[in-house]
Amino acid sequence: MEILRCEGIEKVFGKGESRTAALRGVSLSVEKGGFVAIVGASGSGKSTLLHILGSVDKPTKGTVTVDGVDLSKLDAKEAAIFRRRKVGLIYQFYNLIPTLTVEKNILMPMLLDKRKPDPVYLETIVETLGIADKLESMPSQLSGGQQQRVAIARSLIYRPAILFADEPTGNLDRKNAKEIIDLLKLSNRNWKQTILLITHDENIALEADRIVTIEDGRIVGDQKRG
Amino acid sequence: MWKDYSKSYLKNNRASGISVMAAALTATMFVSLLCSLAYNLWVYEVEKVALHEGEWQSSPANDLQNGRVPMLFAMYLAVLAVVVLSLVFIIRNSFEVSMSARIHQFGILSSIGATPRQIRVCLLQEAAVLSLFPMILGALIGILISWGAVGAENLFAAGVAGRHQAVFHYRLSLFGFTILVSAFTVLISAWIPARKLSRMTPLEAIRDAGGFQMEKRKHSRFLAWLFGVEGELAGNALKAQRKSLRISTLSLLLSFFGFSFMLVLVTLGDISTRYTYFERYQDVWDIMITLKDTEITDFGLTKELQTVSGVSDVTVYQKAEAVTLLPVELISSELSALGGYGTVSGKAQKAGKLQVNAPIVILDDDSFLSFCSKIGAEPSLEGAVVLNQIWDSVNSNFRYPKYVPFVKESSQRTLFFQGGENGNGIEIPVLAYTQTVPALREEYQDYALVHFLPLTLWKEKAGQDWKAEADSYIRILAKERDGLLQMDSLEKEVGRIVSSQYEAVSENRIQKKLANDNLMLGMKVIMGAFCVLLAMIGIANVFFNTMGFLRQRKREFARYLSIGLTPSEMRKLFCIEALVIAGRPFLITLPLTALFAQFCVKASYLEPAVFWSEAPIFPILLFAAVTAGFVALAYYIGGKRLLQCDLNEILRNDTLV
Repeated sequence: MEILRCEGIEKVFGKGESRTAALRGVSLSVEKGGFVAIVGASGSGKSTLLHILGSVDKPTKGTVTVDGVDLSKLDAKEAAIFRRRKVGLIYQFYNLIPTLTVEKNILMPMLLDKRKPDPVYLETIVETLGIADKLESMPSQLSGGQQQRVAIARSLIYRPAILFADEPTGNLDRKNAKEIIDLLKLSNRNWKQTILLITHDENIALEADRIVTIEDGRIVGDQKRG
Repeated sequence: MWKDYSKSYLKNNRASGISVMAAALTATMFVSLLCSLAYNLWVYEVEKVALHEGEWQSSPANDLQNGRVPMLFAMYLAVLAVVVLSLVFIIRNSFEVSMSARIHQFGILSSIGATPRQIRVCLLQEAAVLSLFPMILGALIGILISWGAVGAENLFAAGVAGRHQAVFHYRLSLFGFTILVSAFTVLISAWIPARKLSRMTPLEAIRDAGGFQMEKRKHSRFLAWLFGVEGELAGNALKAQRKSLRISTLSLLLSFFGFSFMLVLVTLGDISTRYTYFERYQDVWDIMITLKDTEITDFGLTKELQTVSGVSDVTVYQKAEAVTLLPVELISSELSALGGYGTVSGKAQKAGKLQVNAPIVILDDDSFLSFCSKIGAEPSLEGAVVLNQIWDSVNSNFRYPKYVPFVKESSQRTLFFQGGENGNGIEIPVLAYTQTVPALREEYQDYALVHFLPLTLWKEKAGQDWKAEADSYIRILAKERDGLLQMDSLEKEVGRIVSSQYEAVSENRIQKKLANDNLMLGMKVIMGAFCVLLAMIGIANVFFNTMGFLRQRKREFARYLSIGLTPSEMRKLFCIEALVIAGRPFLITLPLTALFAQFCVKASYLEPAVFWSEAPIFPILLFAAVTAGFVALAYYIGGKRLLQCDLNEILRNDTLV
């Protein structure tokens, strides 16, 4: 079952002489439960693509459909609610809210919807991610690896249709990086979580079951593995 | 290199430059205004003393030359020091915001070898360049406002009899001093954050470790309960930024305190003057003439004044100080019941005889006789009428005094002394005792036995040794008591008659009321302008601070948006923050102002209802509304910019803060 589909995505930044085309007609389809890695050199357009797919940004041209929702038809409010409920975003620099506890950070998407979280599911996530004893801590009291686990927990709390991870290990040491990738694989396997991972590290990309290569704003390779 | 770097930064970051310039302008304007006002006040005092004493014996200039700093001058220096210190705290923030925006850049420069001193010097040079023109402009505006204040003072006090007109003074050295103090203020303000920034390690600077973090767990229960998750986010963010917001909150708090306290005091002063002066003396005078250095015995125009058309009644009088020895058994039973003279007056009481003040009021003979008739005593020029009353300070306050008889009305004579009980005494027969005073614009001492004497008796008894006060007075009641024009023309007419032979200063009740109203208005306008200036600094600081506060938090807001906060929820967040920033100073100040007002009302023995019916609630609320409006405007502009900025660019680029 197809969970994500984008067709002919183009993204242009700037005007006149400073006009830069970051994406040039990208089309991609991802099946539910898939673990897709998008690889490419720095400046190839992979982060731009992820932001468009995650409704953080809008394409200059083309359509994106996630879980049956056409993102081009969403206004700012609808896009925000879509991000809250349907997608999970993980960044290289965690982007946790420094003024809230770990628990509040994880629950934030639900709190914004004034919904009560499922305590059993919350416990399962934090136990799996190894941060059950950190719930009352502040983000600044955690290591980089722990902060990224919190960011993953936050992205999973709403059981999103798809999880986008933008270089999630880029700021971590080898040991922590491996653990984070293992956790993503675990969530993919245990909860059938669809994951779209952006990385420039080929070793990490090899952990995915499909590798899409992007270069100069275009998809130049799409390889299914295993 | 640094010059090019600064040039390029200032060119590309106009908003932060403008904020620094505005801060420097406001600071200098305030310093200049204070310097100029202090100087003019000093010159005015010197002129007044010189005019009054005809020489420079005790002038401030002489005091200064003799190494004695006059109190007023010392006070102004202290105020200037406090203001400079406050301004350092206030404008420091503008520099801090501008400098903090570049922490990352300085981290990079530091990592490639820039020394802390180079960074510090670069920042101070920028501050100097940005502040030079605003400082000169601010100094000029300050002088202009000070010139306007002196003009306004003259305008409002135009009706005050015998007032020396103030002339605006300024000198180049004062301008130099102003610029020097301002430069010191600005450079110190810039130096504090520059020092902090230059001391950061390159790694800290690149990672912006000085940014927005929270080490301890905080709860904003009230805001969370009131506004939900947005309330909690706003509350926690404000707590995390408490330090940077402290200065703006403080300046707003101080200006609001100053403004509301001043209004309360002015309102109280207004009510008090009206109650104790105009309303109390409404029916006892229309025109008052002070005869300078004139003995009542030398005045010979009483009959002529009585014949002036429009004059209903004329009383000429002079006052003299005296004491009398009062046997304790003469104290009235009512006063004894209150605990005696000592209890009521709070003065030590000797056994046997009491020495009490017995002020003498010498009335022209006709007025004295008419007073006798009025109180039912047999008219005679052979004795005195005693005002037999003393303020019952045990059961009443000065605002609404009650009186009891001072002495038993049995004594037929009073023995007066001047210069102590061993001096030459004169004995005066007592014609009558009364609780009624003649229609004079006089306030009598609270614990004294006032005696009214006819002029003839005074001439006969006082002789050469007894001295009255230097001036005599003429109190005139007019036939037409309500029209200003009639009153003015009558004052002019009697003034003309008296001035032909005596040195005299005249005033009339209606004109004095108007002059007083004008003075009060003037005081309100000048003090109000001062407070508005203070408020403007507070508001400008809150405005710039809030703008800077929002600019610094791009990344934080981008995080909110990325996890699904909708634009309307973001707006709600901004509203909550603005509400807290603007509301907190008022929530603190309003009860304190109310308590202060209540305390003042109690201390001045006013009926609370009288004050609260005239309480300056509207201007205080208006001030609150204007401040809240500016905070809201800052949030509106800052919030709009934030919501329009490129979310993914901020989230992706760690260096953009």
